Amino acid sequence: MSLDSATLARVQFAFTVSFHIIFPTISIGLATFLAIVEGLWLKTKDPLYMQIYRFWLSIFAMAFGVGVVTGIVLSFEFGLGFARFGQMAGPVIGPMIGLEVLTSFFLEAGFLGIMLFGLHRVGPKLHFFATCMVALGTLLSASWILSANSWMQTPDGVTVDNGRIVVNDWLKVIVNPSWPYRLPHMLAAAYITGSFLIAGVGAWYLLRGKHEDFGRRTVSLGTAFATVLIAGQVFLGDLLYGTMLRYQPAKMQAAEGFWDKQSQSPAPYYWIVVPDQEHQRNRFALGTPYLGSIWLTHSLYGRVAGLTNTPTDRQPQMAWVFYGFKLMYGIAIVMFGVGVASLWLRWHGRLFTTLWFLRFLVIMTPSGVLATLGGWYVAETGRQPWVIYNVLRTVDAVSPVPANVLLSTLIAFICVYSLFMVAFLIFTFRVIRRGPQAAPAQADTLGSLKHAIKSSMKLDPGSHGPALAE
Amino acid sequence: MNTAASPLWRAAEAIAPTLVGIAFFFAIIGVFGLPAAIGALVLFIALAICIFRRHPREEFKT
Repeated sequence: MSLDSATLARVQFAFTVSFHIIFPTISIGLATFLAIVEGLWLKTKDPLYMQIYRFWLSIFAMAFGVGVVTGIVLSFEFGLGFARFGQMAGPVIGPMIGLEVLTSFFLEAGFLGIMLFGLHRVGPKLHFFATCMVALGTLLSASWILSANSWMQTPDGVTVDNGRIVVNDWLKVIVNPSWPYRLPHMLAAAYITGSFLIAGVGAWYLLRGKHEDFGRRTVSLGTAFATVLIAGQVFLGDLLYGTMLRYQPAKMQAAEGFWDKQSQSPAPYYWIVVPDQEHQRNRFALGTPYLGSIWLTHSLYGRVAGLTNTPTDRQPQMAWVFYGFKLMYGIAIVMFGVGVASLWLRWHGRLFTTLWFLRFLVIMTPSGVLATLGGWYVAETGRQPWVIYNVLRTVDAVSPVPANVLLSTLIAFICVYSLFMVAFLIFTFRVIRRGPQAAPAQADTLGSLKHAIKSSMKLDPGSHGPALAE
Repeated sequence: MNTAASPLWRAAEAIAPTLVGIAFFFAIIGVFGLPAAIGALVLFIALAICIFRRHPREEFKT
């Protein structure tokens, strides 16, 4: 791989967007979880729910902050790294990102302060309303971004006039063919991510014999949400698979690791391949017999279409798409297994005492983030060589920026983002190590922002003042 | 239950949910068609909710 401008612009965008997507995924999942937990607190008045709320609120706030900052960078990269894309698709992408700001950012910005600092200053019901509005804001934000990205995957409602895209039908642009499937798939991914985070941290407390009530309640809530959501996600994923097979067959051909126009019958399901893109074959392939036919064609002897059905100049690189898909799908299978196991253990009253299960939940804590990253690699690398599918090629979309400039900014991004990640992890681990008792179950009746910031910086769990985000 | 039957019982206990889980997974993923997938999903969620309701205060057990 030569480090030309086009490659560096793509690597830079891939790095920044991969880093960014971790945080919205966590904040979307946690925002809805927080709204549910606060709703349960209002309904039951059980202080444990408020303790859970306040514990996860601080981690949500940190994820939200890093997500916003790293998201803004992406908007600039559209213009700086992919100017031709900006020129051509600006009439579509610009208004959608603008609408994201107007609807979701304003909603989040309006209510986030109340959510983080307002429990003492507004009534519980208004505070709950603020939490719901922030959760709604994260959902709206995901909707607009997914709409814009899905339009790049399955463009609709536009014509190309003198190298510029002209919108004919905004409804078709926003509700493009893949958006109704990709949006619920992404939202479910975010909620599953949140569920496994919550369950994993609760399991860690149970294994250490600390904060057992908190641990039991969060393991119970986390596994319950995860179990229902992963079943829905498997269903949604299959619907999306069928849609993408119709609109972007090359992506799904690459995702399954077959090259021949029609695979052997019965087709195996490949878990590992070493693709040779140049010779259009696999150097090595390891799979489960029959499973490819059963899963992909829903018959025992069905054949699967391979990547040679797509001309070589329109093919994505198989390795990226294949392993992105296997990462996502493999984790989804394990998650489904965890969901079934949790039901079984809950049925027998052993959900909180089965050590292997709790240990496994701890291992699964970041699984949602990894699966989401895998899914986005499938979406983005599978669309290649197009940036707007069948409209604009990625190599034609990049800006005429010297390679050394892109390389230096890429290095700068890696350094700065590494600091962000280290800060986020240190903060999160510190919050987890301090435990939920540092987040008081009872809201204080007095306080100011100055006091809140001071007590937060002191990290004093014994303080009577507001702690963490308060 | 005698001690000799215990490993067998444990194996059955592990195999039964595994088989049920695999059956649900294959059905939900659409192997038996879309109507069966929707039916399996609804059944799975209903079953899950039944189990959650059976142990609503499980977390307080020590």
